[in-house]
Amino acid sequence: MGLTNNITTRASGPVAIFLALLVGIVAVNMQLGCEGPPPQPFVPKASVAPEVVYCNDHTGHKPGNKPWIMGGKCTCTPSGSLMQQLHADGFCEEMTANDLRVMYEEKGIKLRQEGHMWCNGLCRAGKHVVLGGNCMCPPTPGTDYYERIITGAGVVPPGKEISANK
Amino acid sequence: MRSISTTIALLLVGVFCSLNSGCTVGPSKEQVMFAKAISIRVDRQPTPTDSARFFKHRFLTKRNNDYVMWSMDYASICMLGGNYDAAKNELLQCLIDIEKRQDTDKEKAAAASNESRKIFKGEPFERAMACTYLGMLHYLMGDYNNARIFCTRADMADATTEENMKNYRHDFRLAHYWLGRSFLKLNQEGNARVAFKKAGQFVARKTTNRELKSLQKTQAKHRKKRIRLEKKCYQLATTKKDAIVPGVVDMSPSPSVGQMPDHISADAKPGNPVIVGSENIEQFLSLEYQKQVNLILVIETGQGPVKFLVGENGYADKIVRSDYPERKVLVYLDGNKAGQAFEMLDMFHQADTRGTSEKDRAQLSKGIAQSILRRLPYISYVAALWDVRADHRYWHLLPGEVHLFAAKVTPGVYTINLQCFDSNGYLIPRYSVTRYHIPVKDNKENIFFLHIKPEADNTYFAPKI
Repeated sequence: MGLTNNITTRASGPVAIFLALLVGIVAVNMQLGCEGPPPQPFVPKASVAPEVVYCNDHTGHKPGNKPWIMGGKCTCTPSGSLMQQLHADGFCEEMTANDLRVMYEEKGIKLRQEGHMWCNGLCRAGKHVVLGGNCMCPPTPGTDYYERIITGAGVVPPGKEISANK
Repeated sequence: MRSISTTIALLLVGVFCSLNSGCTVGPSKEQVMFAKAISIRVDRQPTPTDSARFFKHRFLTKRNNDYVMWSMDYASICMLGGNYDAAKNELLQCLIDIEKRQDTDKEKAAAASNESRKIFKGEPFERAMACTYLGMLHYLMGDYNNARIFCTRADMADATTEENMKNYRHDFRLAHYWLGRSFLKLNQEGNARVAFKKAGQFVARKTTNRELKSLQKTQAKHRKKRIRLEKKCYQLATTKKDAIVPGVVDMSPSPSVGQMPDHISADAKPGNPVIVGSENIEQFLSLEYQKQVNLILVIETGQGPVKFLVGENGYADKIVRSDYPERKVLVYLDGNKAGQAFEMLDMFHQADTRGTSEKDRAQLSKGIAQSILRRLPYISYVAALWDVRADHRYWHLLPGEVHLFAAKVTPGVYTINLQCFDSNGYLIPRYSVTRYHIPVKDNKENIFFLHIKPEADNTYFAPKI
């Protein structure tokens, strides 16, 4: 018992100093607000939208773009109005919308249809054709995926496609 | 002899420490995928498709007790990633499970012990949100009758709120809004008017004002600190020789909503595209206004409420609001001020008004009984093994709030910019979101789901588009 008291008495001096220092540091930090480091720099996204490279049903057909299946940059779903625009550009002159649709389907590319309107890359056909998959359902506007596809960021060149479900 | 025993002891300590620390260098791939998926609302570089695939493979292949919870989270990931087909299909399956799956044995076991042994079916507000999402998705896909049905079901799900909260039984305003729009499409103007009126009725809780004042006080402090740190950040990024960042912007200015400029950048296109806009919520929810709008933005902010266990041995659950600063949203189209988005759903308000149910009372009884038994001699050994924990499962990826913007705008392709403000109405500059090439087509309703997250527009260290 006496030994314990002795140790406590001897240790009380340094302990008291340590506690006083700790309280002092805490108080100073509280006063200063413990601000910590500043945030990382902010380099904002451009206020002007980048140009559409790969057009689709949402962006509307971009004049001069050839259909994807023919090595072009048009990923619009074949329709009567699209064919009119393609004919005006001198593409697919002998073809109907159905012919173009069949061409895509024969290549295993899944087009926009009932129940496959808003997959945004999450479907059995895999990623969008521009990113190397087999899906040509137009991406959902307002998402990063949409911006990547229409601007061509992360584009996979033809011949290096990724198989479905990867 | 002594040295051998010391060596063995040290060896055992080493083995124990290794086992305890997991003998691994870092988290597994699965843990990383889970962390990425569950933080998708705030992740700067989310991969929603990969997260959705991971969730589907990891949690949705078997129908265990937690299926509905993971199903709801999966649906949220799909909603955030723009995978609306998958979200719709999963939520439909989720609702079937909520309504039809029964396991009385598990329910009996849960009543006597750990409550999370039963099949999870969500709180009233979670079921209401699942139905509202389905209503919105059906509406987006042009199926207005089913949109009406699901929005009505959302209202009914909210009506299961307990007796002590009966004033809050029909206050799921987001569902009423979409119900109103569905009625408009179905040429039922009278019903639409009633639904829009209900969408505008907010019943405050007793603590609403107190919470707001406390939040305003805290956010005022945070704003001062934020301004100081932002100035420091800008100074470092523009003056320190080795650390000069090209294109860096000073994020310290934090004007109020009223002080926001009409044109947010020098690149703003001339002429405001908004033909008809709304100044206040009354005008916004009027039938005449809703008949004219052709652009609707559903903006999700913050994170949903968090549920955790409280009380001795976790016999009760508690729901608290998540910490997120954004409370108001201002919309810019092509750099021109388009108007304010109106708050249509506060998820914590919905969670806080669920009421005290029969199961809560049963949990309290279990908790008290166990607490007494644990203090009795001999019996305490057995009582300590009695698991009386409440059900702490919840929908992790719900939004904190949902704001709506609707206006009649000139058809075209727009860059949408969302600016967020705190509860005092001051700008939080790092919570801006810019989305390119948003099409507003003629003679068509154009609906887009967007969500706010911090640093969304910061391209520092992020790939530039």
